[in-house]
Formats: sequence, structure tokens, C-alpha cells
Amino acid sequence: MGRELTHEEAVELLGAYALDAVDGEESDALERHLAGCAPCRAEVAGHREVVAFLAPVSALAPEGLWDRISGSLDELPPPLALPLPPPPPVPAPPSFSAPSPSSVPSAPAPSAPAPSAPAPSAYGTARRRWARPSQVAAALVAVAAVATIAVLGLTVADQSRRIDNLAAPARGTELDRAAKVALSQPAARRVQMRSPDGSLTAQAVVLPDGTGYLLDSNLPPLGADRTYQLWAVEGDSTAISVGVLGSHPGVAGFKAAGDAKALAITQEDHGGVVRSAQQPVVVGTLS
Amino acid sequence: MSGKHDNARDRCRAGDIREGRRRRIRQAVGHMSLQEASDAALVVAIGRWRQDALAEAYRRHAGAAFGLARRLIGDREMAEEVLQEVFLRLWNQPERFDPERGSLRSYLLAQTHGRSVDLLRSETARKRREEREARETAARGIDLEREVMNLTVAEQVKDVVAGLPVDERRAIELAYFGGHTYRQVAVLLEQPEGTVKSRIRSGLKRMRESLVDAGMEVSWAES
Repeated sequence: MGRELTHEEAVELLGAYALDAVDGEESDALERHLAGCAPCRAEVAGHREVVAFLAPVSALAPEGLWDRISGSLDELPPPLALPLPPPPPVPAPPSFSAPSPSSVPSAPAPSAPAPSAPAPSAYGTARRRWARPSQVAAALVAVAAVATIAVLGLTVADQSRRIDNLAAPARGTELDRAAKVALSQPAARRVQMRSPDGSLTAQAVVLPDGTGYLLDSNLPPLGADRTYQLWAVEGDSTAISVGVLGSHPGVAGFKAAGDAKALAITQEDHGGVVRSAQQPVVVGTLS
Repeated sequence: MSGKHDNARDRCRAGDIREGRRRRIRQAVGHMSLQEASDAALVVAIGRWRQDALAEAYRRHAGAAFGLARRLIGDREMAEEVLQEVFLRLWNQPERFDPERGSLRSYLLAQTHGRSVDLLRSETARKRREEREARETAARGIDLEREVMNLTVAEQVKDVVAGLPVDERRAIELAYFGGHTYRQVAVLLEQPEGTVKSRIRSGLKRMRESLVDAGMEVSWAES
């Protein structure tokens, strides 16, 4: 990591930065400064508004390009499927869990996703990834293969700690402030979780060290005997509980693996569960 | 103390207003006419998998973005790739656009500019660019005022650009349309790097003031 910039040094670079005219370590240092300096961020945004006036107002987009773009957009995502470890070998009512390798359905053709097929999915993968079910299928095979008791044990142990962390509803201004600071970090990865129909959403941010914050959601309140539970897809695509959010989630902190790929929220019985048998309410990929 | 409290209350009120605005946008998305929707509402609709919302965003802004990419890269095919990448990114990661930080137009143009500059600075594109610049420079030279004339921007913008001191205009032109770093601009203009940095910044500030004076709306994010 290079030298940190003073505020005065950073300010001098803001115009050039807005024009993408700062590069290398200097650009990295400026971005670190911007992460903690709202006035500088505002000035860069202002400069970008100004230079936007220099772009042509009457230029035409090339013919045919929209057709290419729209043709490469994915349709609605397939039904969501939590790649959780398989359920224990005890009688249980039919419910979703990660299929065994032999039961992984064949991947539908990318151009014709079959909405009714439980597409194998490392849930919350980016939209474009929905169009690559063969990759997802391979990932799910790996998930099922590694869903061992050992992994499960780690999950349980980890979960209990995380449940403790989130047991008290997070309302404090300190947490709000920490979440906002995290959101401003250049290295922060943001995730917009959504329900399949897009009506329910939840936003979160995860820092490189795995520290994360649930920021905002429009999840409907649940009864006192139910709770929302947050899951992270980590490492080998195993879904791990990172916190029980309560019946009416607000801003909450959590800890996931730094390389977490996706987040999802399920509805569970009060107290949360070790393994979910529910379809996630919302899912999203960490960008 | 009361002043502080007032400020805090004002901030809370501003936050409430913003949240209220977001809520109204979310509620409006379900039954809005896309042609009349604000850019922020369009992006919310894009987040809800509405391709027609992306199409409307494309209709509004793709021309300017393509014109900018084409001006920077020169190569039509590469400019189309940049445009495709920018709009697919909006589709895949709509949450990256923050309406509190600026307009969708400036966001998409900044994305287009950044990606185009990345390509320009890549090895494969550099040679092509140098050849093109050599041709252009030999043919007519480059000047921001002329570029703006050629780009069919609004009359007020042309006047604003024409009113910039020439040193500021040249520095901005080489950085923005030439895709040069400020250090490269300093070499090209044979001026100290610090001077170039300052001129770019002061030129942009002067442009903003002039645009506002000319009655144009230039949003400026609150810090």
C-alpha cells in the first residue's frame, strides 16, 4: 500500500480523478481517502455531472446493439434453491434441501431456462450467471459432496456465536454509522437481495474481512413465533447461517467469510435453525 | 448546542424525506409509465427485472454514451462493446447507481468513460489510438471547443466551453476526450503536473458556475 494522501493533496486530484486521469497507486490512495471523506466524494460526483454535459446530446446509438443487449439479458431467475447440506437421515416432511449429486437435475439450456425445474443454483449468483446453469450444477455437486458432518459441525458452532452477536436488535446509531462507513469503503461489496418477483428486497454490504451489515429491507414483519435468518454462501458454496434477524429486521451487523459469494434470507421458526428447509425469501450476489 | 440539534434534526428530516422519496419511487414503479418515469424510478424497475425499464434507460442515454465511447476509442466495434458492457452492468448491478450521488446520465457516462479509458490504456488499443491521433492531429488538430461543436451539445454548453481559459480547456480536453492521465497531459502541454491538476479542477468548477449561470441544472451531491 502506498503513502496516504493528505486532504489537501487529495483535493487537488479531484478534478483529474473525475476525468479518470489519475492512475496507479495515486488513484488507489485517493480512493482510500474518498472512502472516508464525504465532501471529496461529493466534489467528484459534481465534476462528473459537469463533464456529462460534454457528451453529445443527439448522438444515436448504433442500430442492432439494443437487440444484442436484450438478447443477452437473462429472464427471471429460476426458482431459488438453497445449497444447504442434505437433511439428516430421519423421517421428515418433503422439503427442499440440496439434492444429492445423483439427483442434480440436468442443466436447462441457457436460452430456455425452465422455471419449474429446481435449477441447481449457488443461490444469489449474479443475474448473468443464471444463464450458466452448467457451472451452477457443477458447484452444487461440489456442495453436496462436501456436505459432511464435519462441515455441519463447524456451521453449528459458528452459528451459535453469530446468533449471540445478533441476538439484540441492532438499532444503535453506532451500528448505523459503522454500516455507513462500511458502505463507503471502496473494497466493500454490496449486495441487493431480491425475491423472485422483485417485490421484496434487502441490501447488505460486506467488507474484505467478512464484516457485514444488513442495511435496509422491506421484509414484512413476522409473527412472534417466526424469525428471519441470514445465510452466506461461503468457500465451497456451503450456506452458513450468519445471524438470526428477528421478526422485523433492521440494520444488523454480521460476520461472514471474506470470500462469501452470496447472501440469502429465509423465514424460520423463532430462534433460527441450523439447517434451513425453506426457500429463501430474498437472495443476492455479492458484487 | 441548539444549532447542533437543529442541524441534526434537519439531517434526520432530510433522511426521512429521502426515504419517503425512495418509498414513493418503489410504490410508483409497479404501475408507472416508463416514458415518464424518473431515472431513479427506472433503475428501481430495472432492479425488478423489467427489461422495458432498461430499454427506456437505453433509449434515453445510449446515444450520448456511444458518442463518448466512439470519440474516445475511435473504433466503432469496441465502442459498441463498451456500451453493451455498461448497460449489462446496469442490468446486473443496478444497486451500484445511487441517485443521491448524481444523475443516471452522469453515472452511465462515467462508467462509459472509465471503461473506454481502460481500453485506451491497454496495449492492444494504444497503437491503434496513436495512429488515429496522428491522423487527426495532422488533419486538424484537437481542441475542446471544436470537439464540443462537433459533438452537437447544447448551445449553452458550447458557450461555456468557449468561455474557458485556453489552458484549462486544453487540460480538460486532453484528459477527458484524449483519455490521458494528468501526468501525461503535463508532458503534452509542457506544464508542471501540479499546474495541470489545478487547471483541470478549476476549469471544471468554472464550467459548473457558467452552466448554472446559463440556467442549466447541474446537480451537485450534498456532502
